[in-house]
Amino acid sequence: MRTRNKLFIFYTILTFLFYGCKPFIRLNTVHPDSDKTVSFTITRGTVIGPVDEINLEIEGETVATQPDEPLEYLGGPYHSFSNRKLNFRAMAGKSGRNYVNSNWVYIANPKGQFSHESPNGSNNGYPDNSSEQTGANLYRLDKSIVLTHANNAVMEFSNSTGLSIIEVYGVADNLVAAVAFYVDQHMSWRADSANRRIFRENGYSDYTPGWDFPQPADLTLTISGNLDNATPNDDFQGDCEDHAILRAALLRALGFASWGIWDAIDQNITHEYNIVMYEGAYRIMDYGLIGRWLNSHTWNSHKTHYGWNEDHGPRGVNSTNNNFIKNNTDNFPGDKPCDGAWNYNKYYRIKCK
Amino acid sequence: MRTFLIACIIIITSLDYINSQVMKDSIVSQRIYNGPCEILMVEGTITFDNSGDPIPQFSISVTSNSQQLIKAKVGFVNSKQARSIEFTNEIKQIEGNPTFRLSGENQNTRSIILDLAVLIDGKIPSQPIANSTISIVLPDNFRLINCNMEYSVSRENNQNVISINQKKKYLSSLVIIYSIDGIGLEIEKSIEPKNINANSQITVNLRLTNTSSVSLTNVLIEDNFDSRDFSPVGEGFTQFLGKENDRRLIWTKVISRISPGQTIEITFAIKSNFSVEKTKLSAAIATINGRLIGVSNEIIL
Repeated sequence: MRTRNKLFIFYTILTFLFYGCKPFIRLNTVHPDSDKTVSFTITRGTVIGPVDEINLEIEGETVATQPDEPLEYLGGPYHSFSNRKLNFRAMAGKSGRNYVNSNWVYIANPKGQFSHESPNGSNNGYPDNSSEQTGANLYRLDKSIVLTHANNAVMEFSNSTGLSIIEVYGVADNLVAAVAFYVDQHMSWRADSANRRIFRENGYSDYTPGWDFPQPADLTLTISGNLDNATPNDDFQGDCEDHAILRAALLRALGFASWGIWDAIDQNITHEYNIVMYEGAYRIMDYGLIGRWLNSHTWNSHKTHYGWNEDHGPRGVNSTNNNFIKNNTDNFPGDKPCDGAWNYNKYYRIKCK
Repeated sequence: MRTFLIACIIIITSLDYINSQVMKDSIVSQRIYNGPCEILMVEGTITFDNSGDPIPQFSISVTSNSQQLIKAKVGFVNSKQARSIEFTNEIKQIEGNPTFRLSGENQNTRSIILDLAVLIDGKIPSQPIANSTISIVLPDNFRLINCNMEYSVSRENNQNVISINQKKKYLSSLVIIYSIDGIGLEIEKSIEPKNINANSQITVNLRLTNTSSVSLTNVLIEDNFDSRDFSPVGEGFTQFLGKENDRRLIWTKVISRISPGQTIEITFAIKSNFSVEKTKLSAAIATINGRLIGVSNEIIL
């Protein structure tokens, strides 16, 4: 027998020893969210020869059975498994024996979380120093104007896409897309030096939040576009962190869970943007529509390193902020692995899809 | 056995469907009005008094497709003028104004922001507004600087009328910037080519028309771009480097004089570092001594 054939047999035996005889299960996604259907495809996998029966169990109940491969099954949406594991098992029957393969996916659902932390900043709830730059103090979900514009985002996205308001409000990915769209449509960049002056000249001279002058979302919505001693080129103005804070605040006002929306800062501290749960995975949301940054890394400013949100703060650039983002947004939610240690590349489809 | 399995599948599927509907319905019922009332029409006119302050006059027409007596509270968001109405399968018209905020009241360039979202029982109606017609009547010495909704302009009784007409759309926040002393510069921004591929040169064109009855002098035109996306070509650019974060490419040019009614075109070029899409290029602005006199359109990519 030739050496090549021997090697083939050796590796085949090794494969069987390692994996055993079992059917294969393929899903159209490894990170379904609760609003989406999931497509299961079962083949006989490493079970040798024709099989008598293939079936699929989801959470212990058989949902599809047929005599031959491939078995195709469209399940879900699995709302009732929101934010927990969905277990499934494929079985291939052959000559009275069942070969089994079990697995699970995590069903992410960041919708419907309307409770929020109360602001506690020393300046009427606003931050009065860097350590008070928390989600509660900067998102200001207690202010009605934040909800007014969050609802505007949903309505304008409905106008633009033709989706009904129920379709926008009822699907997490549509809420994210609506907020990215709204902030892109209505907000433009302005330097912090000008932002400081505008705040000072519009009744907020005592607003001294500490590092980097982040604008609270409610004040971005009320005074950043004011004409008093200013020349705005859009409805709202601010620099990168102000865009990111507004996006996060609007999403939270729409009931998007605090664990699903983050403010992120790159390693060289050149930019602030959002990391958001989208299509069941953590992705980048920044200037532009949600579809702009999903696929692969382009900007050096997106070398994500630091992060904060309503549950983890304050805002800052130290090892604690690095740990926040590293430990809480390592794609995907629910400990479903994406290969390798966390790094900024994990937010792209090309790395974790 | 097969019957049992089929029954199991049906039960599981039904339970999950019901569960999903309950979850969706709970969110929907908190924020969305899904009852028999619909907003048929929003009509509004904004005029201005002698001091330049706006006088809005709005009405909302509501209809119901129910034969039963319906009670609902209808009005603009955050407005204390929301009305409780009772009606049966008929059209009701409610008078009431949206809340609005002004800025620049002590200047000749001012803005008005109107919250035009209409709510039923404090919630967003599940159906958009069938028809919306809003007119902003600017006195002869006023000039429109910017409006954040799609509009058309007509001339009626020596006044410029800005009309916003929408069908089957929700209304949100309307922002109008105007001058009260007849000063205005219309700016039309365009780029060539329309699609921005990586490493290509983009020509930006600004078409400026002086809508004032006087000459405008020393007009500062400003535009800005994300310096991660674009590099400068030629003169007129400065790189903004923030203290902690953010980078921006700022382009400026001073126009020494534009006569009344005169149109001039300015072009400059930038180079794209990446393919740029699914975003916008911000509006360019024109100022004289720090006063805003013109805002261009944005470019949607």
